[in-house]
Amino acid sequence: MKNFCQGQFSIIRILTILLILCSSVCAYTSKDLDKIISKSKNNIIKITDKNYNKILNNERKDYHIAVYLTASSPRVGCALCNEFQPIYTILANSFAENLKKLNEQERLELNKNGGDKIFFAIADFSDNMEFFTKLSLNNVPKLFYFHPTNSNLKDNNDNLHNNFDEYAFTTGDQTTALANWLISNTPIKIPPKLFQIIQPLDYSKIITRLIIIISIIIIIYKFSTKFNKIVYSKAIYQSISIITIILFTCGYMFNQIRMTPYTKTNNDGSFTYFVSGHQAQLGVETQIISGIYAILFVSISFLLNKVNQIKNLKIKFLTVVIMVFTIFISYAVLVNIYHLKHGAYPFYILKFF
Amino acid sequence: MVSILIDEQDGSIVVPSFFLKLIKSLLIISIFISISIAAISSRLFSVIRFESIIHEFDPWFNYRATKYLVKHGFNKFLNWFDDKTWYPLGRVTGGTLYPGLMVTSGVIKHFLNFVGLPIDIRNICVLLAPAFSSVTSLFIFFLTNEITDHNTTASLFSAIFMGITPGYISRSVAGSYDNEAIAITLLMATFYFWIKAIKLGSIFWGSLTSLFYFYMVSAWGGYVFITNLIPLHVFVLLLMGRFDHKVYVSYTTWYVLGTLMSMQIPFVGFLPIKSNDHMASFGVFGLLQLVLLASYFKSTLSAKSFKKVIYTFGAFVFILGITGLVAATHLGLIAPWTGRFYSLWDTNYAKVHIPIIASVSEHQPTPWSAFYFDLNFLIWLFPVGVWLCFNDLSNQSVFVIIYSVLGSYFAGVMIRLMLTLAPIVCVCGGIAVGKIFEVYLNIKDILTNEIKGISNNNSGFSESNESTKKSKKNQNISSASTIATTTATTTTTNNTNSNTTTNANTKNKKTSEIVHTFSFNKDTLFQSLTKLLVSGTFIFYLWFYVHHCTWVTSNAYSSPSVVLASRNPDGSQHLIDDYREAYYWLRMNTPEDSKVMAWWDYGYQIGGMADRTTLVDNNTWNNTHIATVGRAMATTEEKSEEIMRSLDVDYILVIFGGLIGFSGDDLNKFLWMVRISEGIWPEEIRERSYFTDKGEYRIDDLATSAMRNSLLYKLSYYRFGEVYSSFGSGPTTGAADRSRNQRLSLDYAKSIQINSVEEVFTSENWIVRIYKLKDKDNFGRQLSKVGEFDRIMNDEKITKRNKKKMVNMDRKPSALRE
Repeated sequence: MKNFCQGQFSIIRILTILLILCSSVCAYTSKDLDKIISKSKNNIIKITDKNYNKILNNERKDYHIAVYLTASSPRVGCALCNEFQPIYTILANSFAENLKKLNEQERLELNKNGGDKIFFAIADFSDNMEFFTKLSLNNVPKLFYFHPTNSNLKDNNDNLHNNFDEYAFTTGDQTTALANWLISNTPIKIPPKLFQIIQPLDYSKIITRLIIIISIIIIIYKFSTKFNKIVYSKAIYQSISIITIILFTCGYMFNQIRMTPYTKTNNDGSFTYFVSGHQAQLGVETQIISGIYAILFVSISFLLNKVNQIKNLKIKFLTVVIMVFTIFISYAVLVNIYHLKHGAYPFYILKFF
Repeated sequence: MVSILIDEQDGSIVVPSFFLKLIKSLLIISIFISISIAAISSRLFSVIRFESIIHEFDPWFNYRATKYLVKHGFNKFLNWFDDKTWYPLGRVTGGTLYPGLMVTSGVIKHFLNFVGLPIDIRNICVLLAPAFSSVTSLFIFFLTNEITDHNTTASLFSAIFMGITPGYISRSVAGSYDNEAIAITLLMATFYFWIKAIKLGSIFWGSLTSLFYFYMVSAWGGYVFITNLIPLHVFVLLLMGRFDHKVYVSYTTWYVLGTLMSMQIPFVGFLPIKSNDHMASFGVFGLLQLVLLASYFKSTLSAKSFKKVIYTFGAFVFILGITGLVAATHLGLIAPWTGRFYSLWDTNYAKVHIPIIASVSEHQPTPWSAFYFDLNFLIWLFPVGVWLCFNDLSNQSVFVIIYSVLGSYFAGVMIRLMLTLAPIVCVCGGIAVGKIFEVYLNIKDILTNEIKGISNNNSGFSESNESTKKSKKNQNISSASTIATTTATTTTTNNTNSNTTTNANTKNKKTSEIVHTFSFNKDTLFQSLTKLLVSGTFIFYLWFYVHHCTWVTSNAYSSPSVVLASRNPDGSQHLIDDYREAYYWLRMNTPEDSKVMAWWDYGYQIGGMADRTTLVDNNTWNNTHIATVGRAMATTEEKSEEIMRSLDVDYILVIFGGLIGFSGDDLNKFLWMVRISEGIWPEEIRERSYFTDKGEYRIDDLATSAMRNSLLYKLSYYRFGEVYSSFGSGPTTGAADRSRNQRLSLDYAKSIQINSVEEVFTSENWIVRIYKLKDKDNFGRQLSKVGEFDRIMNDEKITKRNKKKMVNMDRKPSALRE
């Protein structure tokens, strides 16, 4: 009920804000930002081409604001951006949560120094073409800290370029590094406990997982005889072990650890499926190679097991020929592919390409 | 006398059984000797090409420690405090190493001296790994023999596979005097004795297992693999309902004796009861006692009261165990997971928390091509072997399966663990090939079909095969063994024996000859063609395997890396011996107590070859100290001078490959120095500042200021421009860094100056450059100021001299005129 009312009100609020904005000189103060935040879901302001001037480049700016510039669209393929974004959002949210928890005295203390005027914002490349060009950025992610507009500065018009600090991305524990950077940048004395991380609880996730677990248990209980059959069947374990072995020996873990791309696009738009060298690998390589290994495995096990059950000698001979041929060709293909990885390798079984 | 009779009726040859057995064992022994020869000789490439020299980095430390052991004796060795490394901290070397390797070579040396062979300790160290590789093949043979219940063909195959597989050779070529050289042998020995123990349930074999386990613990940190694999095996057997007294006896014997013995190694100490790595084996030990107790209750109590007892008892034990574990962890009695082990499971852990582990190239994940490179066709026979193990699911097959799955996971995560995977791949490959040849090279049934029809031919045939009589499986056939079996086995073994190329062809011929003689009706023709086809292709694969292994060994794994080999334009070999040149210079030209600062990779080599004190080395026990050295390299010259003074540094050694295009130099490792020191001083050193705005790693004119001002950069490129100055200036000229394919403009290259240090040595190809830290200025000026001042003075002098020259030039003609 309450939520519903808020929703209705927020529409009105947006309208009023919009009106105020258009009528004013298009510049925000901390109070405006407070309003924006109170209606957004998390405590991060979204910067777009429409509002960046009002938020960052205005002479009335009396607040501190950290802006995370990113490109989250998968087309850009910025791994670090996506890695850092959750850290940033969690920190921003925790900061807001911690701020609410402060007791009266602490809050007064903080507000006296202007501690309630710290904001977090995010700017994604897809909505900020103009903004990014203006900053003349050529790489993301970046994290800037914009100080309040200083009236002493001569060049008041260009707040974007001379009144900020940049965060240097480090390896190691990003969360503490980020908190330390924020603390060291603000002239305000922020108690470090404000940056204590509060992991948000995702209730929907918990509930869905609980439901899944319970339903699995119920299913197992209901079909316990069938389930037992599966648990005790050798074939399951056999296939699981063999599949895992083939996956691991095809560099699956390499892809997982290095987060390799699936394929590589060349300049002319064609695809590369195999990159040379023992230090690099593409996702598709693992798939192709595991396919070859699987073919080899199946045909050899067929030779060893099924073929001997065939009574008719001619059919038996024919199947053996097919199997041997498959093994031979697959191995030859494997060696050929290996040549793509290792150019100096001198041996061929058959030269295909 | 041996009498060979020919049974006229069914055409078989009658041979006494002891004679067959004799021939069989003789054959196996001779095959085995050839396997050993193959294994050892393929590891000698580096000795033949270069010389008998210790390789790489870690072996140099082991070598130095061995020399210490031989010189000072065992007791002093265990109490060795080394003040020549990790200056000024020193290292309690005796208590922080695995002494197994050094003790082994020490014992061998003393034994040889006792026999009367005075062999230099260096040669023992160099040749230890090849020697042990042949022992490994022997143990693989025994292991496979136990696993397959005495299938000699499979066992011999796995032995030869193991003998020459590059995955193992990579760590056991001559000169690679490292812990792994003997550790793999011990690993296989331990597993062999373990399989033997659970098969027989004997305390004797159990104790042997623990004895070899102890040897393994003394030799390599990888013993944790055994510590976890054996309990896991027992646990799985328990789940499968295969737990019996045999398993109980062998496990408890191994656990109790093995743990007690392993605690005698000073470096291991109380780890087996403290660290979580060892908790699995302890847990399974406790579990076995409980299971035994339960089965005792079951035999004495009635079904109803047994249930009651077991539930209450189970709950009690469970709660007690959990609380005990949690309490012990909280009280600090149990150490947390050690970093290296943890990084195996959470693959991002190392990257974030311990850059020093992530920096080692051996700790990188493995792409598929590396598996193929190291194991060739075994990698696709491997799953087949596992599949065959499933078909005949004995206790020992379960072991193979668990080992295979875990081993391939570990090898996939960390490239150095390929070493632990290689043995089981060879075992599985041996099983698979053995099975294939058992089915397709066995021409017994073809012959028995035919033999009836052609008994007249017998005399001639038996003559041609007289030399190859032996039997494979039919020891129990006391007197009569058919020719067919004999031929089949011979071909198989021949092929194993002949891992080299030519036999494949001759053997093919031989098989086809036989086929030709006997194939009369159609059925037999198809049958024999089938067999010929399959075995022929597989013999080709074996031939291919041998070529692959030899090529890989010779090209990839036989470089000592202390001496580099390159090719001249005419194709002849050119040796680059800069390292030894530089270390020898250090040894001869510097005071004996001088301290050399270098990145940790070169610590052991400096200690071993130059015999000078180092600040950090490859035993990376103190991350902060390494980070300090990294900071000195990465920060500005002024700051690094301060650091070096505080560490009492005399000389600085850098590796620079820019001139000849050697890629493993310090500038390419620079980012790791930065990252490691960033972990300690994040506010001073930042990785990002060494990259340009575009995120490039540049060392040319566009290098970032942090890069230009870093000590390592200056030391690398100081005077680099001079080499190219004669080439004139232009767009394509300039000082080209061949290692990073970037070009410094000449003016810029000449502007790189150093003040606080002076160059004292640069090796022939510039790979090693040594600088000396200048003494403090007598007038208390800053060294940078002094340097600037000197340069200005120098320039003035030069201009003056040039002026004088000009004047002289003017005069000369006039003098001539006179």
